[in-house]
Amino acid sequence: MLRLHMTLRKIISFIPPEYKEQEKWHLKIITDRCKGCLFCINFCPTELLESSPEINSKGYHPPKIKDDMDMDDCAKCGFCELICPEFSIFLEKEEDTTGAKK
Amino acid sequence: MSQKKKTREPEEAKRLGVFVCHCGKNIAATVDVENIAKEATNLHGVVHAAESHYLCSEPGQKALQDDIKYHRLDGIICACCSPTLHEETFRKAAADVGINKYEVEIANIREKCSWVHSDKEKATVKAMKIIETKVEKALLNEALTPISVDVNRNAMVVGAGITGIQAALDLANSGYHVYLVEQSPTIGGHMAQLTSTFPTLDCSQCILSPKMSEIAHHDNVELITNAKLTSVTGFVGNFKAQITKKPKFVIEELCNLCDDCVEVCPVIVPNEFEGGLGPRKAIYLPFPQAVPSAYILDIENCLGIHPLVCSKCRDACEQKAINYDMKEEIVELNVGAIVIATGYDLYDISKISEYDFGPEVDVIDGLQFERLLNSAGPTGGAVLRPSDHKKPETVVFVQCVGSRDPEHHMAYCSKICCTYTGKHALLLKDQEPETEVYVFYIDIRAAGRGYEEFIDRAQEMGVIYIRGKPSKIFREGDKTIIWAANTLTGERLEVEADLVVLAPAMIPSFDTKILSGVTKCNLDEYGFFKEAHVKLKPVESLVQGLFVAGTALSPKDIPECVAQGSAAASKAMALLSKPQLYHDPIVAIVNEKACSGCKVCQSLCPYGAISFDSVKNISVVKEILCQGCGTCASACPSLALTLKNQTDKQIENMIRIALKTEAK
Repeated sequence: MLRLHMTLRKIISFIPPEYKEQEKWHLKIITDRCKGCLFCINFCPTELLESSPEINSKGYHPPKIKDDMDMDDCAKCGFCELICPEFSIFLEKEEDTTGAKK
Repeated sequence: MSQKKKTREPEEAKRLGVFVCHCGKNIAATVDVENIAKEATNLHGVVHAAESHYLCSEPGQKALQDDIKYHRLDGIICACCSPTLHEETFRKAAADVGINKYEVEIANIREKCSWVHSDKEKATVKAMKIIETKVEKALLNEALTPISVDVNRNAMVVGAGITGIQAALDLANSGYHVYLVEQSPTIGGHMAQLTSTFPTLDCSQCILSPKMSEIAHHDNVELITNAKLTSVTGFVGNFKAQITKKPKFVIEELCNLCDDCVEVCPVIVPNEFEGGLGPRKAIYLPFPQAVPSAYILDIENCLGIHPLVCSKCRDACEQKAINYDMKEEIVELNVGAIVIATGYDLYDISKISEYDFGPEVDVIDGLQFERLLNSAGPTGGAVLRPSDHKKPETVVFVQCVGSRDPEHHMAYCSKICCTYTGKHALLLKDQEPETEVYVFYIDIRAAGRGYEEFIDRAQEMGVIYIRGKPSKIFREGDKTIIWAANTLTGERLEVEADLVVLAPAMIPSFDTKILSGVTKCNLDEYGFFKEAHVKLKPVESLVQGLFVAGTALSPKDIPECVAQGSAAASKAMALLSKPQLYHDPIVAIVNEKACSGCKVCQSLCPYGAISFDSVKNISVVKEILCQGCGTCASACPSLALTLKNQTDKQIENMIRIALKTEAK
């Protein structure tokens, strides 16, 4: 069976253009809406998020992207947006700042 | 056992014959054969003794048969060479004149006496002693009938690389139904990754894919991919194999290879087929010629097959071929013979601390370089540095990485690296004649038709061969530095390379150890499967009905793998073509009244021949599996197990005779 060694599982040297993302995405987190239910943190398939040490106006810890990760690690699945009961997290294209994902 | 035994008078009435062979001078030079033949007539139960110059010759056998008939013998003792050589000859000769073949005993007075002694007098005494013990055993021998068993005419091949494909095709073309089990989603193995094959440089995929598609469309081949062999029970001719099929989440019959699912999949991971140099999605086709030709969803990297989280591929599939509800399946197969062809992996270079390794430092292994050279590879066939995608000006190849290093790594030679490194260097020089190419080697071992000439060709094209093993490979700036010594000139060298290609040792594939446990097939000290005899039984294992071929046995090149695949298939055919198998009846039997059900025998039996009847609370011997080793009989605390024709009584009598003669 073809199997990759651990050291080769991180870096892909040659990525063809069709694999590269055309658009830049970012996560918009409206921290004051957050009620700290942790759904986005627990359900993120790439485990991108964690609780921020900061406290919002309601007294909860809103989510933030982990320090050692960035948007390249995000799968852009939009599940956080879908699951958030308070509409406080959105996956957005960089240039499109008017609202939620298309 | 047989009718004959029951009607016979007690042992005293048994009429035995002793036949002593001169074996030319082999025995006669150190043993007084004539005297022995005379003395043997005095032995208890012996009615006739004779000598022969060559007992195994046709006239010798004829005389033996005549004597058996004339003296109405019930059993014979042939004092001659080892039973491994002529036991079957004499058994057959005796059976032809009506003696049960298990009433024939061999007293080995050649290997065990004449060949190892020089004192004629003492050797004669010893030879006599050997014959006497055998006479004593023969007195209590029973007439036995071979055990027969039906043969299941299906075969199973585990591993679908070039070896497994060849074995499966040969079996299938001979009319046997073959189950081809492969752990990867596609068949083809490592050969599918290669760019071209030495020494003729024909394209690997072009010579492999016809065989792959033949497998896919063969009526006699049932292909089971993404599956593992998890258990084997039963015995030669009647194995029961359990296969665990992992779900693919794509219905093969519906998939039309439109690529829509791949476009929408958000997960990008390194492609193992490209040695990690190129990407693939979580849903992917391993390579365009893959068989079976269908996408597979890689559950380890998929965001989760929960339709809420990400169901982009399922939504995109117009054929509705993607099914998230597939479950692991367990299939039971009944087969008569099994061929193991599980292939190899490359040695883990991270265990070699003095060498930096990884595409980020431009140090790659041979299989990754194959992908760089391959026109279907991540660079479209151009050799580029993985770190900055520039054309390398200096490329260094290092052979024997992890092999031929008994102190730290693997002691064996991986056999193919010299030739494939030559191929790499040649192809690179062909593509970019300006590139400086160095090859570090310990010795060039290129035995094979056209291999030596092939290496010569590489050298003629300007590849620089340096005898010496690099002591350190490390990154400095955007160059990779190699420290080495030229052992021919004694110079110390430092080479600044743009790309370093290592040739790691071939090691047994990842799951070989587990598979050895499942099949009870032995491994050698390096973890490769072990053949029954290194010269005379190169593809048989010690487990009857189980054959091993290809790089699962030891490192070898493609022609040898193909030859071994065919060899294993023909061995399996020889087995499957018999309507029934006969098994030696020298097996253990359980005295049901004496057995206490302690199961000691069960744990000791090396052949798994003893099972337990939990209703009667006794051990049961499966005669067809028993090899007559006697381990159970000697271990049984209640003396409930006996080996037929090797009973305790027989052995006691033999020891008594042996010691009595000693006392004289």
